[in-house]
Amino acid sequence: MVRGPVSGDQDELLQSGSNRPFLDSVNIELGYSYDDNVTLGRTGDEILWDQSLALGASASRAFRIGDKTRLVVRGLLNGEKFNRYNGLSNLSGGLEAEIQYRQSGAFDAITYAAFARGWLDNFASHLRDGSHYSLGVSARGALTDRIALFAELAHNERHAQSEVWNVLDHSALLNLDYSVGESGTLYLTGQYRRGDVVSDGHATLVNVSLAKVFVLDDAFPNEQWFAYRSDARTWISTVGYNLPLGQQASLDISWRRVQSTPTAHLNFDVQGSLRYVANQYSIVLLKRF
Amino acid sequence: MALTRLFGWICAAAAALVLAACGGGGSPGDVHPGTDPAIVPGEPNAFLVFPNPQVQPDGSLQTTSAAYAQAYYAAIDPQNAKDTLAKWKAANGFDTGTGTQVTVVFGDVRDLGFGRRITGRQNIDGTLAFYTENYLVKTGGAYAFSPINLEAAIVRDPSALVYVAGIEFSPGPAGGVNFAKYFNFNVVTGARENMADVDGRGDKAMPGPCIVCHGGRADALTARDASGNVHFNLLLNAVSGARGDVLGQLPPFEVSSFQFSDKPGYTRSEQEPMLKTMNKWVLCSYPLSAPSTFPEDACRRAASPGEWQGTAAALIKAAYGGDGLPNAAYVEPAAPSSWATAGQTSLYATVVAPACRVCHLLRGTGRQSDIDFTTYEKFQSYANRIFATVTNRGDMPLAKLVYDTFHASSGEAALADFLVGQGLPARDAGGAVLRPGRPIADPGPDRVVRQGATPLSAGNSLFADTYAWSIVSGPNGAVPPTGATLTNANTAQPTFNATTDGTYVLSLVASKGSARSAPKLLSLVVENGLTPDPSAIRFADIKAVLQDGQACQGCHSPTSALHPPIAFTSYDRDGDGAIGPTDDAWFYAEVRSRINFTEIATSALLQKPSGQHHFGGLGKGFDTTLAPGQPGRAKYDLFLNWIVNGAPQ
Repeated sequence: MVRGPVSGDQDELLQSGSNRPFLDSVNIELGYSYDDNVTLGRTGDEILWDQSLALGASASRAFRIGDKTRLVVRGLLNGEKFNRYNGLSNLSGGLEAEIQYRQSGAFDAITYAAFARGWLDNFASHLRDGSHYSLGVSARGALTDRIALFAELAHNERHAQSEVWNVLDHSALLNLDYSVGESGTLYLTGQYRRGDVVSDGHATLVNVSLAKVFVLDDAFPNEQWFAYRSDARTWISTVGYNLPLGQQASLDISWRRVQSTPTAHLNFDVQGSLRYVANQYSIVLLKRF
Repeated sequence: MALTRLFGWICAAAAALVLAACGGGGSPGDVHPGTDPAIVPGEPNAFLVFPNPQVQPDGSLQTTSAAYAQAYYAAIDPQNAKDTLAKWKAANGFDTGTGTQVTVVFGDVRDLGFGRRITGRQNIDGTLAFYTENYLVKTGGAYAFSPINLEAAIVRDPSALVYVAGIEFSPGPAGGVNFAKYFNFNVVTGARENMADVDGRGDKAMPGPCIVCHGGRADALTARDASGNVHFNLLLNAVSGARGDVLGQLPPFEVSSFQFSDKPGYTRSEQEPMLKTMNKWVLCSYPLSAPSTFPEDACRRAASPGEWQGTAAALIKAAYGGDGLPNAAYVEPAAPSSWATAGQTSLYATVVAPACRVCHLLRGTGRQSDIDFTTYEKFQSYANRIFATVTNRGDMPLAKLVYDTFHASSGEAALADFLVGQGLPARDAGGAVLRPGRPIADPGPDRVVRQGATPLSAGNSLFADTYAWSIVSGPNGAVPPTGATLTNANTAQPTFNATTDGTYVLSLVASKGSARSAPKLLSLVVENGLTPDPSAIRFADIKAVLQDGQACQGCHSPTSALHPPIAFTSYDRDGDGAIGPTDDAWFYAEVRSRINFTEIATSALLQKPSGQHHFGGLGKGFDTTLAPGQPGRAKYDLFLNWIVNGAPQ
């Protein structure tokens, strides 16, 4: 997920120097989210909502490799506390290394990057404990002085205590930032993911037929629900607005819509759609140091 | 340099993260749909197999072989006119608009766990046919019913369709009275299948997995005829007179053991009328012992003399309110009066009704039907066998699902108490119910032997892989024993060698890991003048006994008014117009068919003449209350030694 406008990193690309601090930037995020379908449930009786508070910190440093190339290393630590279903609460920490290449310092020069990201995840639901990583390439650039684009292709894997959360997918992301000057940035993100998704629901014929593997989910102890992994095509659309609060802070408001359609073809009639839809509404305070 | 070092550290950290991400491994609760239930090595796994599976000289089980199914289909469908589901349906008039045809959908909670969609029909000529689509959503967990299976049956999910069974009640290829025939069809191609995997525990040959419960017999195939072909056995008490009439029955639909959906069209109240229709058809398949004026009996033919009429008819009538079937819905019948009189309704309700009745209800012969358990006394008369099969062997209850349910129910303790009351050790010293799976030693039956080398076998011991034999006492109770030795005493096949006549008591302890069986004693009576030598006994010796006067032949004849299932006379068995060597080979196969090499003492060839559940009572020379070697059991000893020696022809 890309939170907030992504074009702001460009100005750091070729900076280097022996007198600068060890870390180029430290960011703190404090956010609130409401998710109307934390189970990624298909039918009404399988959909549960929740809200969460998140606190995240990241720190990065860029290392000059050449005139046009640098390495950016970023460490991340995030915690998320859910209100109704504590099993979803989690703490994760990770590292990201990205090699960036930019042909020149020209305004319209595109920055290409290859990255590797890895996280360790600890959930209140121990079935979900594990790690995940992504490998990919990206490109970013400005179209005009108001419009910036970012694109990314990634391979994503997650491994967990339960095989249900051993998921693999590939993703393609396109982000557009539209600057409205000092008033902030409006952004739109579209992401397509092809691969595994995890949903929760009853032990029904449809769910079992879709499932590659399932387990009694410990995140919803009162429901006797099963989490199951299936193959799906997932579209994630985000529209957000990033409002500057001075030079070092901003407030980010976004609406994220996740729509996942299983690829499995069921050989029987199913009442209703197999599609899963979730809406996530977030407000995040970002502070840069 | 500093940059290089830092880069190295970053790469190492990234690598560590990636390696950590390769963890996973799964949790114990993970379930992979599509996988069959795990079969735990060493646990009972003889489900849906006949207690006597017809062990062949090479150790194979004939009733589970493809040849058995081929012979069966050749008998009931010699022209292969029903070798696909489509042809079978056409032959039975499905979807022709004639007769009556109904479909029911329910969950088979108790017996096999399937969601079942059964389409049945009664043709104008009175023949019946049912085909059952069996749906099982394999979730890899315990073998049990799930409402998902019922859901799959409702939507007819082809990926959950595990097998299609057909049962028809129709004349044989040469005409005659109707009898039940069993088919299995491939779920994809519709081709008739020799094998069926009914419970996810491996293929079994048709019609075995059907008739093992539906009252059928699994006699051995004939020997090869002049053309080199083997045939399905002919049961002389089959009124149809047809090979392939295994005396199997149509089981009643025990609606109270079903689960229904709450989806419109599939609720119990909506399914009940069709189920009652089907139960009335099933009722039609049972002959009447006396004329009846009740309309539901109009379709039933009169029973032939000595023909078994089954007890399922009585169950159906009781479930619908008695004669006239006044009730619209099935109600679980009360325990039969004998059980109530004996004060054993609880035993009936917790053991017999849920775990035994569905199969035993369909089992018996016209002259001997103790095994139908319709009275407490019949059940009681089988206490030893119940102990052996339920407590020790684990091959009863017959289906894995019923077995699991039984051992998780109060019925397990109720049966143990009953068995203890019959003097059988169904509980351990601490009072816990004994379950199958523990080592059980079987040194073979007590018998009389000659001096010299006598091979012994622990091969019929259960759930064991190591053995310890010993001689406990010698002639006249001498301890330590003298006059005999035991070689290879820690193997399954030791040799006993006696140089002095007398009775020797041996002990066998069977073990698996740290689990040891209770010692099982074996009495060997050494009598050097024994004639014939046990190793020299052949079928001719057995035949001579069977055909010695009228003791056996008087009833066991193809012309007997008592209609026994097997004849011990020499007659034209292969129908070639003469009595010759082939007939004798077929006779041998029939007699061998009555030997259970997995549990020798239970062989019908031994049990029946010794008066156990035998209409003819105790035969002279078969008194097993006497010690081996006594004249009063000389014929039993002869038979026994022949069997122990492999029953050579």
